[in-house]
Amino acid sequence: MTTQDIGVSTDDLPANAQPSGRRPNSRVYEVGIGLAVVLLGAAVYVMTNRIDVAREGQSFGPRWWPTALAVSMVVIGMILIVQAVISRIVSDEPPITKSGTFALAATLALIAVYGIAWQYFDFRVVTVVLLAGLTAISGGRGIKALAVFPVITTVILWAIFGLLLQVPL
Amino acid sequence: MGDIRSALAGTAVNAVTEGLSALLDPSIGVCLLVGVLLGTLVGAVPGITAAMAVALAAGFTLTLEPLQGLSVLLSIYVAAQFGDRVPSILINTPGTPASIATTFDGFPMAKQGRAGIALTSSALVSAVGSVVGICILIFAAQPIASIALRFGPAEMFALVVFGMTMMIGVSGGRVVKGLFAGILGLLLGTVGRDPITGDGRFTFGLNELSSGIPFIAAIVGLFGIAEVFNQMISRHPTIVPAPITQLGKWWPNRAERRELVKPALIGSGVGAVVGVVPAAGGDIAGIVSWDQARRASKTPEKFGKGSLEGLAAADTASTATMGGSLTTTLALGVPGDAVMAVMIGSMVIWGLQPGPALFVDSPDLVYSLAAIMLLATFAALALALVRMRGVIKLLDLPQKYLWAVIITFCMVGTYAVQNSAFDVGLMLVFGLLGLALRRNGFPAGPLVLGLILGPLAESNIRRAFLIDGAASIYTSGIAVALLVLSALAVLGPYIRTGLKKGSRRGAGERADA
Repeated sequence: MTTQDIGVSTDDLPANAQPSGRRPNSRVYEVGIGLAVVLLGAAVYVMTNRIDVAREGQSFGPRWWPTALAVSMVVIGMILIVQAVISRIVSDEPPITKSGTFALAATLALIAVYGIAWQYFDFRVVTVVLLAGLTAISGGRGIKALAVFPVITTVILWAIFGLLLQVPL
Repeated sequence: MGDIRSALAGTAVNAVTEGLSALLDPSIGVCLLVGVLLGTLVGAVPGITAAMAVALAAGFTLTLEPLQGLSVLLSIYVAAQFGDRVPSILINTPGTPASIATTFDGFPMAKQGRAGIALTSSALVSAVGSVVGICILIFAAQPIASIALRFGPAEMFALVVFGMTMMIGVSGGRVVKGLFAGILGLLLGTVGRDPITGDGRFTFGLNELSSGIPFIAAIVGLFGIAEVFNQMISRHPTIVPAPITQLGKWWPNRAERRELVKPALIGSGVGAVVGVVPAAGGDIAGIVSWDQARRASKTPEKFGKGSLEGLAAADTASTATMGGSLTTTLALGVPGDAVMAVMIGSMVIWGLQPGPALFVDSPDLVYSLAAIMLLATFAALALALVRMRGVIKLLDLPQKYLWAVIITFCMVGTYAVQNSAFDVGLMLVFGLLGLALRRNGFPAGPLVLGLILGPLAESNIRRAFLIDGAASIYTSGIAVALLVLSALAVLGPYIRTGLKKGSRRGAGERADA
């Protein structure tokens, strides 16, 4: 669980204190989240009105349901803003680290390259490279991590999907 | 009258005897074993659903005798429901949509070092749910099927409203953010062709989106990939997390076994009811049951944080739907779920026409199928318990290997569903969306529920209103009953809290006096 709707009274907390294992989020940040929800709802509302329909003026037509959802989103966004102002939202997610951000960015870049390479090269070859790359990003070093593990995993993948399930990889 | 009754009883006994004796052929046993092995395997691989595996196997089984072929298909169906729990519990990735609710408490249990208990309990209650579903098929197929036939747009709309009330339950104390996630899910459910007019909506000119958001890509991204990304983004290069292991204790003790009883009963009931409703499957049943068990629990605060009750309720319900789905399929000729749609196709090719006539023309086949499902359940349970220790060793894998394996399997598994690279890209987008939601306190459960219920909700609400306005809803007994239940589900906790406060205040005043 990440956050709770149940606000923690600031009176109950000494200065700089935090609920056990949780970090209070800044009010500005939480208001920003609420604002983002309102803007998303508004954007959906605009996009809904641009849906091309074959027959205009139908009751309960294709625009009706998404419009109702967009309005609900705006209302919920406003409630989130109010909630952010009057109560204190806490989070128990571990903080983001610099090395973690780099690892995630590198992983996404590697997956993108893999997706392109898969169109041109054999699945088995590019998958071995992908697995070696992902292991290296996660801190794997040496022959076992960068060669043996990727080859064995690729063979298992190929056996399950390519041979057993006949998926055209 | 007595003669007629004894004649009918005699006919039923004959049907049972014939149905069971047909299974004495050793080839049936071989087919059953092959099906169980395949089902367990495909269930454990995220992205490959039971429907997909059954569809693939259907091609190979058409050359077999009907009973042999049905043994393979039904065994895959049953065993996949056991196999799909494994990735849900160990890596927070549902093996099939039916095990979405397993992730709610299964993965937190694994993180607490209780993966063994989770896997064993899950296998045991899944077997209970399956047996309950089969009993329904044997004893209550026709009466239940006749009720399910009365579900029109108004009743389906009420059922969907009841399902939507679960969004609050699966929000884990973050009701407003949970509701937003649910609405976002409903909105994503509108992508594609309009269910009534066929107009394209929110497809941005992409043909791949014309039939809607690919569901497997969405759930694999939101759960599995988002979990890996979240671990990755918060990793500390100098701190190596201790591996989760549960090799010492994997069989639940007496207290834990006792804890499983109540949620298993709730799950069986929910699964049985949801299973017979066409188009509602194990995914919906699992979530609904999890929420009902939470409401009935003495410790609802533990749900979503590693509750054995939550795990048991979800898993019992999703397997209990199998018997209900087969009931609807055989009694009405209407596929109870995607797997049954494939099964109907195979049955028709074999010259078997599912529908009310099947119970008159070949009642022995119904008992044969029930017995096959029962045998497959016990075989899958045995296999699940035998390989338990080996499976838990997966958790011993160093994180550097585990992340790579999960990401690669999720990508290839998602690709395999429709042989579509677009789906893989979309899965990654959902992975990033899941990460963004999670980091900002939005639960993924309601979003998935919205995605499942969205198309059903919209089409039935609009049909009900177009047919007869609001009157079509309040003139239907089933719809009114479901709407009342929905209102109670939402208002129940507040009413209970109010009553508790009132009784406390009364006691305090008496004490002062």
